[in-house]
Amino acid sequence: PVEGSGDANCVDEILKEMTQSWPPPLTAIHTPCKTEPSKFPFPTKESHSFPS
Amino acid sequence: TNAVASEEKPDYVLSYGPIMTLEQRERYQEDFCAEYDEYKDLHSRIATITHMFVQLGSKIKSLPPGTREYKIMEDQILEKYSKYRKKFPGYREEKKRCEYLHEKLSYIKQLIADYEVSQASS
Repeated sequence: PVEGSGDANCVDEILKEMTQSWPPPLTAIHTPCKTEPSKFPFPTKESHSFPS
Repeated sequence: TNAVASEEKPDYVLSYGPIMTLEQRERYQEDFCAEYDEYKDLHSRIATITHMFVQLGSKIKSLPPGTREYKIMEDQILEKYSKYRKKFPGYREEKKRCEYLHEKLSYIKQLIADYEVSQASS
């Protein structure tokens, strides 16, 4: 490897920049987008109240 | 002193606190959805480019430096790079934007998950 060979140096830098690890995409929220806001899949009204 | 505080925390940490109500949860989800498409589009474009350069990078590493094949690969990498810089002049900004959205949307998603957990256990 010759010091100061412009091209190789440049390729090194390109590869360094362009091959940075890229995380897998963030998945959507479990509840899909564009659902009706009023509907909720879980019963939220009366949850069992445990005697504490 | 104020400048230091705002530098430490990203803006979304300041604007999104823990979820207390169902309405709040819906609002957070709407915000998430509003930016999710942009995020996914940016992410897949960058992933494609990254994948291509990773492949070029592993190819050139398999070649002995100084050979003709090596030089050809070098030229190919330079050419692809300048092509992509022309096609996506805002590549670096887009990548930064995507990384920002990744952090922000993860953060909102986590708050929603925390809320769900707190609802399930109450």
